[in-house]
Amino acid sequence: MILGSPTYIATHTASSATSIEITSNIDSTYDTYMLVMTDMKPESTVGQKFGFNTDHAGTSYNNPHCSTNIMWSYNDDDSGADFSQGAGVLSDNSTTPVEMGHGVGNTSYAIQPGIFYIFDPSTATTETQYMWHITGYYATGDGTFGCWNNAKENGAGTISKIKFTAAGGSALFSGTIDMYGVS
Amino acid sequence: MSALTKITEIELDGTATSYNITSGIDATYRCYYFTFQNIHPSADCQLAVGLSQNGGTDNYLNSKTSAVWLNRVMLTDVADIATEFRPAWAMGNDTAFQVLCESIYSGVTDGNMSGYFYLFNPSNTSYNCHYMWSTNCLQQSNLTWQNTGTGRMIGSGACNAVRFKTLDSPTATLDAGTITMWGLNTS
Repeated sequence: MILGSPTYIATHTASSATSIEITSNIDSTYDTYMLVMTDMKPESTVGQKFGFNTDHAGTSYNNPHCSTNIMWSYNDDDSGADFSQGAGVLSDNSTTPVEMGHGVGNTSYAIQPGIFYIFDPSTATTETQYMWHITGYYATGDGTFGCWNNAKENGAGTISKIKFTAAGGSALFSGTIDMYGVS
Repeated sequence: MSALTKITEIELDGTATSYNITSGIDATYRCYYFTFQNIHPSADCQLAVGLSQNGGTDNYLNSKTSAVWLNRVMLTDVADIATEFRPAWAMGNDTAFQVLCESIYSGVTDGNMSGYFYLFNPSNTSYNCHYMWSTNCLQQSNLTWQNTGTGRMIGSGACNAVRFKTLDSPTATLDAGTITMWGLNTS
């Protein structure tokens, strides 16, 4: 759900790019930041997973995270019902990008929209928390999937940058992220 | 200034079994956000949604694929619980209306359903229009029942209208509550 009263900050886009990097405006102005993702689309092989990593100043987007999830899916042919913790997208103190959900199809109309929250990134004494709720075109079986996921930094510190990638940064994608501050 | 702009607000008054929103869903916003507040029916029923590509003349029967899960607990027995996939409400390329909640109990005036529904970039004709929702309701007088789901409209046509309607009871009307449609500004 949309929390509080959002204030629009900026729009970030990718077109055949390997990342969307948000490098400004994540600061102490707001306690919570909301990122609305639309039309996030892989542009090469089927089954690419979107992911993110964050940056303390100078860590080059390799902070360690823990993440967990609930994922569900169903296919166009009435098969493939699933509701489970997606073991393949858990993160355990890993510095690689936190995977956000299942692999997205790369048919011409396959995308992954969603809502992503960053909680209290500017408090140096706490671990920053993340939560996202997404819906996507499931690469497996031509279906749909949803995810309620969350993650946290392993270690306290401020976060001022976040980078979104596909397939760990090795794949091209397009998409739009509208950024809001929530008070 | 809040980036949330209220576009339409429907006060449910018991006069209808369905409510249509046929304007305001266009390219103005990339994200549309619907809230359901304290919805109470005249008889036990579900609330469902249909999506239209032509202002409603297709009777909101576009094909969709959706996945849904439930999370419920009995109010008088916390050992009576379930968290599981809801196969009856999943849809595989199906034109039926998408069930958004379990049957809302009508027997008490304070029981209701509340929740939200997102529609992402409905005017983009290059991609499937995606949606997701989560609701909670009082069901059968003694269950609190959450439903959460995601889905997409099959094909690449723009979605420009939605219908919310009662299901499972041929005569149930929505006699109280509010459905509000918001747009999320990008400027």
